[in-house]
Order: sequence, then structure tokens, then C-alpha cells
Amino acid sequence: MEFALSLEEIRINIARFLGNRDLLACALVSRAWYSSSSIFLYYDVHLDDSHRYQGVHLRKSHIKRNIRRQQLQQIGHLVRRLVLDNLIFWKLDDFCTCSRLWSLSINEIYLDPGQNHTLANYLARHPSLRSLRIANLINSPIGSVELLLAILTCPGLTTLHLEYASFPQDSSTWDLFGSFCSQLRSLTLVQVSLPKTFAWPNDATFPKLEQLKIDYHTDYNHCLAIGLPKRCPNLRIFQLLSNVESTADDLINEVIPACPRLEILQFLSPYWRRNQRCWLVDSLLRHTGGTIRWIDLPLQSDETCYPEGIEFLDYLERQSVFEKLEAIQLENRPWIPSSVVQAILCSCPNLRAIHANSIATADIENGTPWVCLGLEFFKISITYEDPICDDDTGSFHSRSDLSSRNTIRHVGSNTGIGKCHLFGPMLAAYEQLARLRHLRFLDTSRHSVIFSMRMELKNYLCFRVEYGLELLEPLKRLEYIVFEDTFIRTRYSDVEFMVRAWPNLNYFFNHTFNRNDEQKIEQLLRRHDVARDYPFLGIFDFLYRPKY
Amino acid sequence: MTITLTSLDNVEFKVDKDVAERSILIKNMIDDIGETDAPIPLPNVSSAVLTKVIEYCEHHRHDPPQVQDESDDPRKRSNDIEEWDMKFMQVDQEMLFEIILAANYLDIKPLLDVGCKTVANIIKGKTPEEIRKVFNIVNDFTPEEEAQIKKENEWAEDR
Repeated sequence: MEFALSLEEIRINIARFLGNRDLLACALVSRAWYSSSSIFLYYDVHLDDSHRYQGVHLRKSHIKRNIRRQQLQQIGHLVRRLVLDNLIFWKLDDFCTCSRLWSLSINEIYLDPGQNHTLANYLARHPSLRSLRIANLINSPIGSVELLLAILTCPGLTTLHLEYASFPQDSSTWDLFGSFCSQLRSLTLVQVSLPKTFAWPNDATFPKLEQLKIDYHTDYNHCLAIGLPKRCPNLRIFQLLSNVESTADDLINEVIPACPRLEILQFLSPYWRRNQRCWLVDSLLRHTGGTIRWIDLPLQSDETCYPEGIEFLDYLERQSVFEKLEAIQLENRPWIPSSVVQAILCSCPNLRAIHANSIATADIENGTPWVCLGLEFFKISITYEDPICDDDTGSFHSRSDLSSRNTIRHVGSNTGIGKCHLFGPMLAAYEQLARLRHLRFLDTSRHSVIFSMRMELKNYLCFRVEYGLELLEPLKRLEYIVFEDTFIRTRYSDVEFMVRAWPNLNYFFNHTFNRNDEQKIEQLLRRHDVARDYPFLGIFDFLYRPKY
Repeated sequence: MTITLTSLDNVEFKVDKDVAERSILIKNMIDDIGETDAPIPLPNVSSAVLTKVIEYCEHHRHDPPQVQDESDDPRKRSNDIEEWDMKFMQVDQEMLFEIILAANYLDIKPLLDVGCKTVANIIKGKTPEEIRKVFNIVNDFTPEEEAQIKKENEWAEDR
């Protein structure tokens, strides 16, 4: 095949010049062509009655928000993905025109037993369904038997996601479910209970399953957490949350040796023995192809395990894991120093996503250029020291620094020497960010730290035109931007620059706008269909969540 | 002011700054490093392709900058290629894709679009099998999947 056609962005660019009939022909050429042409054929609909953050990632050109009932009647047969969140005023009956769904996600929807469509008979009318997510139906009067029946009516499913659901507590229904699972490619079970007496038959395997997530806060079940993955010879992605001490050993001894294709492992556990993370990585390197694309083995918040965190990163570097690593999560357990984050950005050439606590502009300025030019997801607070403090320590602003910085012309306009102190280090951060041309998600706010409750007296990188924001113009693929503006509020001109420079911008979030500009900014964002929202998106959702 | 560009096979090209800056990549580079006599290396583009790209940029050097399309519809028409561009794109298929790759790498949106429109015009009216043959693409669907997609798409034939 022509190399150019193997690039998705080029296929999509070609597909946008085709009409329906030709798009259909393309959809039948190959899997890759199918995914690039189908995005121009169909609608994705996301309905959310509440004002909670949207957790689902949909591309701008095909998303329809705030759709009316009547519109849905008209385009129903063109809808392929339907996401229903927190619906109180809608019923399943309202969606009966969506007859050719591929993907359905239902979260916290009230299912009225009086309506025509029960979940089971609604799903039974969708033989085209490939992906189903059902979450948090706990408050709905839906019985466990009905839920199981509903799922079993979808023979074409390849992706199933169940959250806080309960199943009938006898083994025979689980046998049914087990044989159903044998056709799935991706399975997620969050707090799904299993009968105590259940055991897999000896010869049970799930050769199609490539992606598995099992999450237990309570009621851990060995039969699922360990017994299921080790029966999946083609497993590539495994996520496990466990609260049982022996699980890490079971992973090393039973699961990893049985899964030679495993390349993404997320294991969340409150129990870690010294060096156990290294043993896990060691086991992965020995039993699999030797490529670890993402590994997430978080350290505890306890600061005493700080040296182990650094030792573990050293170990990853010694084992050459960084060379192939696609994603890394260094979020603040323990406080990974900024210099280490900078070092990682300089030593992982294939990185596509990073989530870390914070990086100081001084480290960026004094370090070497970042090598991860394919980075798509950047979630790190960018901080800089107060310039007055810096003068005391004399650390990184000499007069010569200032004059070298002044070569960037458009920054100098309204600056005194004092201001220049601020701009120098900010520019270093802008310059590195500007090289990340593949960036789609940029979050530099302190929200990237989930439980940093202590008030820190730090300054965060602001996205202001007069500080050099225009340097970021090349980031044409940016879809999300989130930032902190602790001391200077965003103005209309800043936001105007962003919507003009970044055509794919879909989400914009900061805390405060300049008060005089607030209304104008809101209107501007609405005109460009940019949501003023905080996208609650993790690395996994961004890179690896099955799209189907 | 002229800029020197060096291709993959180490051939140097001298072009006017406003021609070179049709490429957003080169424009940003020049903005970053300031005006310089040092040649700009383009390690992804061969001299044969770079010759074509420069020819395009010289012809379009006075075009106004492209405005962002405000309309909602992400789909565009492919039958509005200018006559000069149409002639320019009369090259063999290998060169066509090389130009598309170079335009993508150098970030020359109008050239990328003209290239993609040309490919779209090749695709038009062809069956899936003919498309595979033209671009040498392997069919990796199972027969069941193929049947399933055909079935799902019945509605769209008459839209």
C-alpha cells in the first residue's frame, strides 16, 4: 500500500472530499478505511441532563450536543453512537428511531417499569450493537435477571462495560455469561459481584479478549481478578484494582506468564513490598515481547517511599523501558521532583501521553530540549518561582539571560525589567510546548494534582498573548486546553487568539475571566462551539479506551 | 531575502523567503531561529519532490492566507480544483503520494488539499475492489464483517 494512505490523518483528509456513495465504497475497502470514512457518514449523540463534566471523548465534527427530541426522530437511523447520561426526562421509547446503533452507553438513567421498552427488549431490537456500557443502574428498578437477559440479547457485542451492576447469585447464570464473554474483545467489570461458589471450568479460555479491566474496592474475587486474565492468551491491556495483599504475586506468577502479548498494565493496590514494582516489570519483560507501552503502578502518597519511586524510575531507565514507552503516569505519589519530569520528557522519544505533578520553568530552561515530539496528551502543572524570591537566591535570572530572551520581539512591548523577570522562564516553557505539534490535550493547571490540598504559593504558566501565547500557534491539533490563571485573568484577546489559531478546540477551561470581558468571551466560545468545561480525561481514556 | 533548503539527497535549493514561507513548518522555523544564511535541512523530502513543491509555492506565492472555514460541515467539494493545479497534479501515483506526504510534513494546507482532492477524484465511482487494486490495499475484513457493514449501510445508498 502507498505509505501516505497508512496515515489516518491523510485518509480522513481524502474522505472529507467524498460523497456518501464513495464513502460507502471506501468503508468496505479495509478496516483502516472503514474507520476513517465512517466518521463522515454517521452521527454521535451525547445527551446529558445534568451539568456534570462529560467523561466521554467524542470528536468535534460529529458530536451533536443538546439535540431536541424531534431532531432525534429525523436523524435516528444515522446515529451510530448514543451516550445517555443522567437522563431524567427521557425514556428509552424516545430512542426507538436509533435503530442502527453500534455503540450505546447508559449511565444513571431512570428506567421506568411502566414504559413500553424494557432494557432487554430495547437491546434485542439492536442486532447491530457492538459496544454496550451500562453503569450505575442501582437506583433503577431493574432486576439482576433482567440485566443479564438484556445483555444476552446482544449476540454481536465485542465490547462490554458493566459498572455497579448486580447479577443473579447462582453459578449457572454465570456459566451463561462466561460463554457469552468468549466472543468479547474488550470487557470492563467495575464492582460486579460474582457468586461465592463460582469457578471457571478447567478448559475455559477467552482467545478473543484483548482488553480487560477489573475493579474491586470491596468484595474481591480471585476467580475474576486472576482466574479470568490468565485464561486470555491474547490479552494486550490489563487493568486491575485490588485490595488484596497477594495479588501482585499472583500477577507475577500466574497472569503475566500466561499473557505473552501484554503490553499495557495498570495495577492499583494499597499493598506494595519493596522492589515489587521492579519484579513486575521484570516479569513483563521476560514473558512478553519486551515492549511496555504503558505501565501504571502508582506509589503511595506516603512521602517515605519517595526514594523507592526514584529507584523504580531508575530501574525503568536501566531496562531501556523508556525508549519504547508510550505513556507515563507520575502524578504526585510521591512528589516526583520537577527535574525528574524534565528528564523523562527528554528521554522518552515515543511518548504519547504524560501525566505528572508539576514541572518548574527553571528546569525546562536549564534542561535540554524535549524529545517526545509525538506527545498528544500533556497534563502537568507548569510553575515558576516568584521572581522576587529568585533575586534573593540569584538562581536563574541574570541580566544576560534577559537580553538573550529579548530576541523574541513581540514580548517586549509593555515590559519593564521587573516584568522580564517573569517572561524569561515562561518563554522557555512556551518554546518547548510549541514543538509538540501533535498535542491534542494540554492541561497545565494545578488540577492535574488530584489531592494536592495544601495551598502553594506558586505561579502557574498563563496563556496570555503578551507573554508569548502566539508561540503556540503551531499546535493545530489542540482539542482541549485547561490552565490556571492565578494572578492575571484571561482576556478576550487571549481567547480570541486561541479559537482562531486552534481550529479543533473543543474544550476550554480556566477559572476566571477578566470581569469586563466575561460576557464577550462566553459568546465567542459558544459561537465556535467550544465547551467551557473541565474534561475529566485520564491517559487510559484518551489513548486506549476502545472506540467502538 | 533568499532561504536555502536542503533535501534528503543533499541538493540545495535557493528560494525567496515568501515562497518558502508558504510552508508553515519553514515559516515557524524561520520565526524561531531568526533570519539566517544556514541551510534548512528537510530530511523527509527528496529533491524530485521538493522541486515540485517549490514549483507549487512559487505559483501560489501571492495567494492570500487561507481563512479558517467557519461552516459546520466538515465535508468539502473536490470538483473545484483550479486549472493550473489540475495540470500540476498530473503526475504518476507515486509522485502524487510523495507530494501529499511532503505537503503534510511541511504543513502546506492548500497543497495537501489539492493532493487529497486528486486522490478523492480517483476514488470516485469506483467499487471497493477497484479502490483496493488502484492503491494496492489488502482487504483485512472477514466475510462476516464485510456482510455486516454492507447490511448496516443499505440506507445510505439513496441519500
